[in-house]
Amino acid sequence: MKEISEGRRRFLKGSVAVGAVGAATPAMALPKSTAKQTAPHAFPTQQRLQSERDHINTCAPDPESLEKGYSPGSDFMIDLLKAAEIEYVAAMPGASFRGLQESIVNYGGNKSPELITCVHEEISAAMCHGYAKIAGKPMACMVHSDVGLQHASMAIYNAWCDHAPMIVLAGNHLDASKRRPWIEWLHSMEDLGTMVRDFVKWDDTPVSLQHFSESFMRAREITMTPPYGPVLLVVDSELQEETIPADTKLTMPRRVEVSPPAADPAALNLAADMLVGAEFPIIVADYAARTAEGVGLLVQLAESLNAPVIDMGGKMNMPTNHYLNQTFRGKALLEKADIILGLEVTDIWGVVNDVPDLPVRQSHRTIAEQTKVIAVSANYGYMKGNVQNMSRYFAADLTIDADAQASLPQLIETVRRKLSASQRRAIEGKKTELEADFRAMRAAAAADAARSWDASPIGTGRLCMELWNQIKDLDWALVSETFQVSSWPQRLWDITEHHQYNGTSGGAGVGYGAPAAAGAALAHKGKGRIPVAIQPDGDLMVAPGTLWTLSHHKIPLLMIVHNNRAWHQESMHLQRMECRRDRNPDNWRIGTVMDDPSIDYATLAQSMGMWGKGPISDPEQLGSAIARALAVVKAGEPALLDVVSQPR
Amino acid sequence: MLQHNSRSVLFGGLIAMLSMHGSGSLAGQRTSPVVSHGKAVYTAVGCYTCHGQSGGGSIYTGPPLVPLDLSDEALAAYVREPSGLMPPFGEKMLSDKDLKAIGAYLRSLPAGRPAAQIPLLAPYVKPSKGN
Repeated sequence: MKEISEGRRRFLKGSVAVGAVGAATPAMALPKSTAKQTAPHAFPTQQRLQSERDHINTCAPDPESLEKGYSPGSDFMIDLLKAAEIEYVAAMPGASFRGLQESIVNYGGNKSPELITCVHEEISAAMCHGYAKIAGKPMACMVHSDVGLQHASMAIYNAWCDHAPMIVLAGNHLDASKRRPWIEWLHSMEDLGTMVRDFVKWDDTPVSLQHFSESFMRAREITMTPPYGPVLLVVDSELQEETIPADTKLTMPRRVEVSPPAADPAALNLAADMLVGAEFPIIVADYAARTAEGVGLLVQLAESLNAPVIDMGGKMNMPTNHYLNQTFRGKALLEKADIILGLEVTDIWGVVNDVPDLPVRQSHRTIAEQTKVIAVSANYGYMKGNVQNMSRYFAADLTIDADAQASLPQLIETVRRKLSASQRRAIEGKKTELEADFRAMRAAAAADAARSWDASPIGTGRLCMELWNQIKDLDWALVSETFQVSSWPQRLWDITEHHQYNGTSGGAGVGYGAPAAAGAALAHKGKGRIPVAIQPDGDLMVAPGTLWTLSHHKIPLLMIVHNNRAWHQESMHLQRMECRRDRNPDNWRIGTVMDDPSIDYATLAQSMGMWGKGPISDPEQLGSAIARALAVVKAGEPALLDVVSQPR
Repeated sequence: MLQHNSRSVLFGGLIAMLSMHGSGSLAGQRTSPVVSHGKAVYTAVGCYTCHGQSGGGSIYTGPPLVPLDLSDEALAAYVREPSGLMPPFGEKMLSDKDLKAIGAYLRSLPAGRPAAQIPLLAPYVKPSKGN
């Protein structure tokens, strides 16, 4: 994070902000004659601009210097986006970034970056969130100063909690003496970053184009350094719109990738000793596999120890058809384990403890007292105090501040080296029982799914398995959360590739689902993949305008609305309150049920130019309906099916 | 708290609504008055929110209730004083009569076809090398 400290304010007051220009060029102080001539946040005077140019022209030659002049400044900004390989910029239009937008669509040719039009800033930001998790690189969104940033803030918070990269460009009118009356005052802030500073990794308000150049590349670097997270750049409207003299030389730092932090070798050695010496080690993985490579590494480690894995689903960590993925035997595993290895687990306290939702909230440990816990996470080196997503403090037996994926190769090698021949035989001897446990786990899930198989409203197990039946032989990708449908995909589908599951919202902020699915689908577009989303109805209604963006940009996506006609989690909460208070047993429905009238999602989709069918409440019609919808998606268009379903 | 007559009107209306929209049982089944009443109470009080309209339950909210192998007494005892996370339902929330009707409703619900008889699920339950 970067606050505008008092020291920095004094600096801006008395000098021009000039940082190091590229890696090879040292920072240089300005001539004293300019020291007192610049007010804080004031637009540079011609004298200041000249001084800046003089300074730049006297630096050592920089191979990254750009010979062409820029007019206006936002053209230069677009070249930065191109250099950073930002393919898409999502935005609902706003006057404070009109300069940037015009440069995207004209100077930049509306290609890399391409403007993705959204009807709400939460959609813009959430699309960036979903996109980045598939593309492995950030997308940008533009928001209109304070009002746009407020709209986007829920999605930015989700991305923060979910450790997803995103570059937020917020327009602003810094120079108060140049704001048009009323509207530009309403849509300006002195320090725009304060709105989201608690849940972005870094923010900055550049006051010159050269400053913007370096800050933009720094922003890109920071957002893509694990633990990933969103960043904010405030883009002054005058910087966007100013005319830069043709002979001005601006420099652009090259794009760099930062190696993630790997664990201390001594700590890994100790962890390996604990794992090798354990009788029943288990692995709990949450955000462990940042990339596809991480999946393979986790499999190697698990197989080396025959350690069952509980995949908490922050990422696709462990193939669901691997016998060591025993996520849905989690309770039994945790009770039996003598060593628990947590890999990028957001809430390690919650894994081994609980606070039940009862009138008396008594914390209790859910694992044996003698069980040891090893926690590996890059989050130890990066936390904020105000937001509470770090969860409750847990003192692990061995705590390692490191990126789990970057640490796995060394951990695997150390474990394998330390295993004796007899230990290897003992580990191998566990396999038959573990395979049987895995098959029993899946059989139990199938038995559960069978219970509501022929029911109406349609059972969520039926919904998910009819969908699976249609997509399993395609190059598919699930771009939605699954807990609202009892995690049937993780329980019964074969999810084997990292890109086939896109994780969760992170912050459980409602409204994530549809736009994040759209962003992920945008990343899948052109790769021939079929993205599918199981979309809760209440969540969809927060940002239904996503459907228009899907249609307008022809983003192929099959969206099946899990239409249980309620904000179901809240239904249960209100019912719990009525029971505890022994009051009216019927009124929990007030304010929690989305009925009377029922929302017609198919017509909603059609109203935005999207193929939509439903509501479907007969399970026998589901298969053919999905097939018809898939045909639309295969042809390159989005499609929505409204399925009236059981609550979970 | 609703008066008895008002609750009867409410439940009658709910029965009509549920008949129109379906509520978790196989379409077209005939039901006795006590089972219909049980279905109405099961829905009105919100049992279905955790246990599903068809009693199938969810790993995240509540166990399946179908097939119901609890006696009326055992069901009532648990509903009044549950041991887990389920909130307690007192007499004001659920009368003994309504509880009995819920039991009748749950017993009327089909257990569902075994997974082995469902083509999309059979591969998971048939003895094989692996799933």
